[in-house]
Amino acid sequence: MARSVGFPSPRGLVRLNAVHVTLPTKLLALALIVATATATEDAHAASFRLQSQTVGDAYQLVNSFDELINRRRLHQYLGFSGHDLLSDGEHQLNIVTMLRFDADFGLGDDDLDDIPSWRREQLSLQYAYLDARDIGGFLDARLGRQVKADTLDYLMLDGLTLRVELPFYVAVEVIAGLEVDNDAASINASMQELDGVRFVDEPGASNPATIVVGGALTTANLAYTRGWIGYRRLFSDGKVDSEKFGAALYQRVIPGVHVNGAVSYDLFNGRFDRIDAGARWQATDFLDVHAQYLRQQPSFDADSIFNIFSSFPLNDVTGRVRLHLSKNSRVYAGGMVRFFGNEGYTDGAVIGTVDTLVRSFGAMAGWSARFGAKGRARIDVSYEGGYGGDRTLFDLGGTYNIVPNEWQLDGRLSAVIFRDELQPELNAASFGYQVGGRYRVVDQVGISLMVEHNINRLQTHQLRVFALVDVDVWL
Amino acid sequence: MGATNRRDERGFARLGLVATLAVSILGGAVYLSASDADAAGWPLPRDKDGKIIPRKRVIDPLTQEASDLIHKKAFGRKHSPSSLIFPDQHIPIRFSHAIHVELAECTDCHDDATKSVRASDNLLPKEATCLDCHDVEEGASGDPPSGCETCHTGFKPDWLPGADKSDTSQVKVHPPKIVIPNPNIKFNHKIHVQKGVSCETCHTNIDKVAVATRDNALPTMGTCVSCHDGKQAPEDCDTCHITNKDGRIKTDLPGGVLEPAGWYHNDAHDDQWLQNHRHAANVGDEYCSSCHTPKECVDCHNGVKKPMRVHPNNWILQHPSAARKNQPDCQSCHQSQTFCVDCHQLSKVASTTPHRPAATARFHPAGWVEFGQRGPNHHSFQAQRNIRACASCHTEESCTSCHASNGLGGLGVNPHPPGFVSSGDCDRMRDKNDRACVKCHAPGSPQLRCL
Repeated sequence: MARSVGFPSPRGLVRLNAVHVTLPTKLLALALIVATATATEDAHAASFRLQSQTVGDAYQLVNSFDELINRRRLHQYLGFSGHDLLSDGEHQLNIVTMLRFDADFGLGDDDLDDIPSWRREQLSLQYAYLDARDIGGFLDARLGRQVKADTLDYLMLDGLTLRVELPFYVAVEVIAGLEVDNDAASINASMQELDGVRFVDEPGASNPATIVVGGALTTANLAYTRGWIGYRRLFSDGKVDSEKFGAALYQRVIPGVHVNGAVSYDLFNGRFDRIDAGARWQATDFLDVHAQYLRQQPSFDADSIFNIFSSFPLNDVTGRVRLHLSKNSRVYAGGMVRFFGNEGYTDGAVIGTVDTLVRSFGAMAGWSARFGAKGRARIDVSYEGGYGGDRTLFDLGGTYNIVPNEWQLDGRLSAVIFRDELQPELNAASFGYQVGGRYRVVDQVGISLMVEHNINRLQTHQLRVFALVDVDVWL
Repeated sequence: MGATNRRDERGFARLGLVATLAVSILGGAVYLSASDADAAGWPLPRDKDGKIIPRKRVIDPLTQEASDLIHKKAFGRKHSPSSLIFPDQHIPIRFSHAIHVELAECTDCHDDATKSVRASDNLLPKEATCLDCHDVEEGASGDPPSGCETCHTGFKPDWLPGADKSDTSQVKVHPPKIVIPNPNIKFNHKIHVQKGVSCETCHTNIDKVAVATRDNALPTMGTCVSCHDGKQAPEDCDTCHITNKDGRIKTDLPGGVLEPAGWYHNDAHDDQWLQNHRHAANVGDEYCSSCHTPKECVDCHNGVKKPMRVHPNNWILQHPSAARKNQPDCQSCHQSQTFCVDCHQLSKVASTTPHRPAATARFHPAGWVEFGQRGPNHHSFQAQRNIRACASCHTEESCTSCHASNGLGGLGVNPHPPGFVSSGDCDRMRDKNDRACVKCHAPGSPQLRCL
């Protein structure tokens, strides 16, 4: 995605007036017409769903200057979907939409300088697409605003995704469209867009649309083998914003032994931005062992100079052993070590001893259990040390269904000791608890409330209240 | 020109290597899966005449059959069907399949099984079927024993006055009923019988058990997927699992929430699933969307809902350490230049915050910014290790204030890694997008030509 054109302005890298992409609205209207027209033949099998979720979140924090900041936020989801519009029982034609309104209260005007207004009061179309499946027995199509997640990245785009199943358990995927811009105001909001450039409101800034094209070859209809090879390019004004090539594989090698792997190669930066490989051995119902390796080197929007500074990857190895004490309870223990490299940068004008390889490490253990319809509980204990500071955490949480499917009680206790060599003033031991619950008023309506209270020397008391109202109706 | 060509060649060679590797992996996987293969997906060996050479069978430990074999090694744990799929049963009866299979065919008693098209069909033999061989009037001493208590353990019949004792309905109180709740699964016996699947294929060890129960006679998912692998039979989740109106798997079941245990597809929704679910998503979102809607993705990844399970209590205070470690991966849900910088400006942590009071404490350690020489605390090392931690407070302007060329208001401090030009990185990045270059290099400068 383009983040800037030409030279930096005094206020940083800015954008021109947003090009309001009206494609989703048009697609939505078209889809509704199609849905209505096709649903009339056999309205009994088609089903429609209305979802609403209201999220209220209020919390306090103390800033670096010992000022208390009260934050209050409201988020409202509104979703409508129609399924199996052809009434064929195969869900060959569906339409799905989800809107969200976000509002941020409790802040003074001064606090909000340099934070674009549309990021604190924003109506956004999270997704809205027409979904056609198994057309002719081989084609899936999705048209509209959609979220795509795969080896290469998260992506929110306005466009078309096609998937064609070929013989020999292979399918081809093609995507084309426009990347959804968080800064394009109106109803365009995305946290999935490429990171790296911060933009602020400035009259006269431009916002060229970012075009997304990509393709992938995948396995199809195989239970124990799932493979994916894909390429994706995002570009604007003829310049590449992101260009990646990647592959991923899951394979059950023999019963009980699973391997997975993924690589993503950044063609702009000329390097792997992620390599991921792991294996899990489920020896018996009683025991499983899991090990995972991750090599990561962040990539940013090609417009961002952060790509230059992001020079070395971090390498991470984690492992866990789980004992399944019964069908519904297990214990685990594990460890991790993460290496941050600087090799090659210690030559030249260096004073003192500079580690070319720094490490963070950790160990964790826990227990979890499910008690059928009555609830669940868990305990987690972990320690992390090395680069970035030390943290010791004890965490206990659980859910008790007082009246199954009606009244639910949630609780959580945490005790944490953390220490950061960069910021000794922030070293602390903190105790916190959450108490909350959920009441299902009727099958379609639920209310949740959660209160979090934290106590420590830095913030004597810190309170957070989280409330949620869910409405989910099949019409 | 020659150097550029060599760089291009290196770039193409690297890309070619990656492409070859990736194609090989996927191609190999498809070959393994598409060819004649065993249950694990590996091709079966053949002799010179092309005939398959039988090889020692790898027993799936997640079937009841194998679970019996390795019972002792599993510390007494035995793989058995999910109680969410097959809710708890109450079978107050004495019966021995082990004895009866010697005397009769399965369908002699379960004659409805071959016609059944729903898992909820009651396929237990009716009492009359039992009475074909068991004459109640002969009582427990008959051959075969046929008293009420022969099957209804501990039941002493209290007959109605003048009752015909060959008619078991004429008792004052009936024995406890068998309760087998409807399974939360689709199953069509008729199709399986027509396909030639024998009873023993699914009801393994039925010839060794007494009363057949969920835990000793019903198939586990491991048994199902040994055929439902996409090749012998459909592998779609909704082939067997019941679905909601939107076609997704119904996971909210009366006994609790149905979650994968991970035995079959490495998808255990366990203590590490928050980190590991990316492995499932890596290969496309189709598998995940069997159960999940896009809203569940955006709740976190474009999130406001902040599920309390993700971060522990008092996360705001302790998150700096996690951010420097990048553990967990912050960027998977939080964009540094919007989410992080916004919040750091609001809380006046970021140095670029408007109306920020004069700092009373130093945030970065001594030696953070030193010109000419770099010590262990120098910011460059931190940036190279994990630039995202920097980008959570700083925008590019912080960097360009020093690293931009003199003509653009900076100090001309070169941040490029050694070999940036000679490796071809400079040419490639400039050719694809020079918008980042011009933030530091003035128009017409030789650096913009990678010189």
